[in-house]
Amino acid sequence: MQLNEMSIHQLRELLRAGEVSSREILEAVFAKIDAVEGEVGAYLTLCYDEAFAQAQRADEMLAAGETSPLCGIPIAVKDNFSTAGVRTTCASRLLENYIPPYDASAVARLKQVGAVLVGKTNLDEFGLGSSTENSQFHCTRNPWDLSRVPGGSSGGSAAAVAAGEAAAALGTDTGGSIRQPAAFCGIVGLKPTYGLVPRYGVVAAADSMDHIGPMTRDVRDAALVLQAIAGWDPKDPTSARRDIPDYEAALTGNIKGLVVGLPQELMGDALDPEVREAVFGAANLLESLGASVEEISLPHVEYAIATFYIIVSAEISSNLARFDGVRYGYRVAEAEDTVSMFIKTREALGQEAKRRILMGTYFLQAGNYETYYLKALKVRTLIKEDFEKAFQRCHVIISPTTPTAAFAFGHKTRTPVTMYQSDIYTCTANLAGIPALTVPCGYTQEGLPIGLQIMGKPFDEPAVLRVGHAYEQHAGLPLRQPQTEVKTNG
Amino acid sequence: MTLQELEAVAVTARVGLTEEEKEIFPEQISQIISHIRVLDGVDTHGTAPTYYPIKQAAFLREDEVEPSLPKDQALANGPDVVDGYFRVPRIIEEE
Amino acid sequence: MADWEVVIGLEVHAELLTKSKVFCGCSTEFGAEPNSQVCPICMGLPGTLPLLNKRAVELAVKAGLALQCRINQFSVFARKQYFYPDLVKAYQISQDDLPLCSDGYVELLVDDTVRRIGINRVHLEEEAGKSIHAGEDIMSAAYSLLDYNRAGIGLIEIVTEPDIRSPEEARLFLEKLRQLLQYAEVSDCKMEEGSLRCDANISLRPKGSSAFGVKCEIKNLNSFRAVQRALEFEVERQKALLEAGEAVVPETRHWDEAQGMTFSMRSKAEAADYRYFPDPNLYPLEVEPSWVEAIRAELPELPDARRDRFMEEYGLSMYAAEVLTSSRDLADYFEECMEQIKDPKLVSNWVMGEVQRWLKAHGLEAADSPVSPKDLAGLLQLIQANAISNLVAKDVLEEMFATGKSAQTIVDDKGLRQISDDDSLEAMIAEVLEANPGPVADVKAGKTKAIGFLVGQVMKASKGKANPQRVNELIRQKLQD
Repeated sequence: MQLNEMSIHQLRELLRAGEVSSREILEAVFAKIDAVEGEVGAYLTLCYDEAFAQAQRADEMLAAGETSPLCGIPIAVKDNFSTAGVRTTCASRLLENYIPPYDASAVARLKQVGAVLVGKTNLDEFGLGSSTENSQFHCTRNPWDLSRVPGGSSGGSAAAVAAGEAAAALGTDTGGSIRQPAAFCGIVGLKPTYGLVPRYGVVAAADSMDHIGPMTRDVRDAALVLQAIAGWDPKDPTSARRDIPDYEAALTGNIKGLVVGLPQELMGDALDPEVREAVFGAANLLESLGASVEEISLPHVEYAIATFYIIVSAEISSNLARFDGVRYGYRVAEAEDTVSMFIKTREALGQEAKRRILMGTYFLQAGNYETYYLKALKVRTLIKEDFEKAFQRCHVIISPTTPTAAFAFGHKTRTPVTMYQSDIYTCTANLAGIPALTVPCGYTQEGLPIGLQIMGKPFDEPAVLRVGHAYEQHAGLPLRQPQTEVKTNG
Repeated sequence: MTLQELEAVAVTARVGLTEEEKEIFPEQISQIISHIRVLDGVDTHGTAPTYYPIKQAAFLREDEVEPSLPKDQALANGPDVVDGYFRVPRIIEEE
Repeated sequence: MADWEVVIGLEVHAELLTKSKVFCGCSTEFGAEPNSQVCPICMGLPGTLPLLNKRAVELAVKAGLALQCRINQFSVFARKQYFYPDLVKAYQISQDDLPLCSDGYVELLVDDTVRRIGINRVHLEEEAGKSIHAGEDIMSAAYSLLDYNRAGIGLIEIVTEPDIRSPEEARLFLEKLRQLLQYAEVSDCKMEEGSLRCDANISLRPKGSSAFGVKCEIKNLNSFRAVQRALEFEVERQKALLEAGEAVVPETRHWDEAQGMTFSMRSKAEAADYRYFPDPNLYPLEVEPSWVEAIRAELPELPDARRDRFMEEYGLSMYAAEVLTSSRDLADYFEECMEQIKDPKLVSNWVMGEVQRWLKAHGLEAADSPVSPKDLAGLLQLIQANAISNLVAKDVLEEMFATGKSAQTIVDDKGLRQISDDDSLEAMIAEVLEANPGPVADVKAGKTKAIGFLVGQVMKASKGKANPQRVNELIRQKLQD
């Protein structure tokens, strides 16, 4: 196995034993990038020079006894995390040349323990989309099948990890944007509890729904990255003040006696038969490991999409209003006055961003507020209560991560409504603010990865990770490599 | 939603629309609205809205001055900077 | 013609006296270089989040208490959304339907009656940046320049009920409000620096009617005088319209100080709909009763209570007590001086008279006076001890303001000490009597008025240093016995 294909915990052992250096790992990563990036297109910006400087520093830190498992590990970061001195575009023309003067807290925490920032990954503009096709710069291709999307909005991060262009990545998840691309690209993705990982420096889509999390090769890696970025941050007023457990220690492999809920509403007809079969297979495996799987009901889940759409659009319309071309970012060349300057500058936004802004503006207008926004916030309460009730019985809840495996490019021919429907499995966890993990649980006949979602109680990442890890250890999935491997060798 | 209504919302949101968008948005947005009106059927009597996903006390900071950005950094991203100010075309309305 | 009743409500913004801004650590100091007191948060850079300043909350609560408001245990921050180049996030963090303070009042003394003006609410919000228009004014400027040093400074917005009934009452209300906010050390309320700003809503209705008329909002009121003048203009303008059977247009009008009139502002592209919604980044603010009490304990004695106490404790007139408590500084000055010298009449006369005269002449507040309360007490003690006359004391105070020297030093250096020993006085009196036989004869004939003339002559001869009371006594002894 090449260095660029190894997990963080494998690399950790090699680095600790002094068998490889951070520099060598990074060289392997950039060699892979050179080979496949032209086809995959995972990155918007590569930080070649900075990365080698950081690798050098990491090697010095390791020599000086640094024990963080992330020291010297090459990590990719979605391009909606602010990075001091490195442009942060959100895949939008509005921010094409915007260079933040500061690091997002999650990035600063990674840098502090010696992680190496490889580059900034592609996304749907401002995180709005499920295929990364809404990037205003280029498309990212799924390393498993280059004719298919990597998912989104963290499609670049998922593709980078799957293609061996980084050991791990950070993504953001507003309605499934970590988990759906992770599932499409056959990797692990974790959306932690709201407030666990600070959002400071991450360009907001919807503040009450945005989450930051790891995208990794396996569950242990997810635990290691989470450990480094979780915890209270005085720069994020919504970050939770609580002690952080040892996540790796939670990976005991023992899930005997755990109650696993399987919501009937998420196993319905919309589901692709191959996906359903894979999820039932996973449920059986968990039972064979000593868990008991019980069918449960989340009666308000059918309203999740509408609820999610209203709240997210309202917040997006507000958060994207600041991109007015006055203090930073793109400004239209000619404008007679500020009103026309704002309007013409913001004409450069992509269609999905505009639709969301228009809808969100509409939902918050006098006369509509109660019908749409307030109503959605109330239904959000009912959805949360569904989960609270379920978690009185269950330790975790499992479901498919996505209704199908990765789809082909060209979703623009489909209507927005059908696009939004595919968020149903993931967006409920954002509405409820609960942790949700996706792990690979099989392949379709076409060889595309399928994801299993594991949701837990607020701040019970240990349970979610334990179940994911136990499943992963015993699933015995055939070891397959993405298609790019074959192509570049050929 | 009619094109006229849509254009009014677009002005409020200061978003310019292309001809293509003017063509396709009204239909798409009407579809979205008709879909999300499923919420009308949900009984929310006596249900409190959830504004925040977790319950926590407001964070309060002590009143201490921290360093500001160096001026060149504060201005570095400005599309039109003159004499230490950000410049904009004339403002045609008052706050 | 109907008699019209004027209905006015005010919206007042006051900048809070915090060291740092309300949602970030940038300094609030006035007058810095443009865009030198900004950071990612107050510049609204993507990814930043608001960090609420605890002291700003306390000052807003303090204002609420000074205005007799109810302090709401839970209040919510909401986004007020509109596009403007000085508004970095295209929304202002403010409060909407759940403000920090509600339902207070201010009492005014208008023509000897107490008028109670209701306070609808006091809420906490953030300042916008400042735009500088290249050209005569905003309308004719070719472009504008933005400085964000002010962006994010903590503000309170105080909204009155429509209880104000005349332009003069509006001005008196603002003066009282400024007095209260300065007393409570919530805001320095400097209208010229923009730390106190006011918009006014005004309408007219027939006397006796309970329905409100159509109101206009008046902006650009940059001084207390401007508030009164603009409203006076507006009363006449609206009255003329109504009496001509025309309708008042509900609109925002701009006060032009130079022309002394209001005029309609260019209307906005669309009706204002701020699309308020609770800011998901700020959890509801809980101000527990124990915290409110701790803040209440910080409040100084408020002006009305202090005025009443001054009347009772020092036996001062209503007028004197009102003047002395008009600012906290002046009242403190008076009381510090009283600690040294327990003569309320003497101290109040000097503080209200000469001290205020020289403060005004030097453009100073009582707190910045070069003559401290202790210094003044030193001067007054010399008067009490008959060491100098009132007349000389006035000159000495002027000198004290100019040089910062103590009264004792000035009196000693210039030899101003009053002459009170009978030997010296009698010698001077003898000379004066000899030189003025006419008045002397008058006095002897019972025309006592002439005594005053003779005393004056002695004072003149002594260059003001003779003790006039003793001179009077000695002349009477000589001529009348």
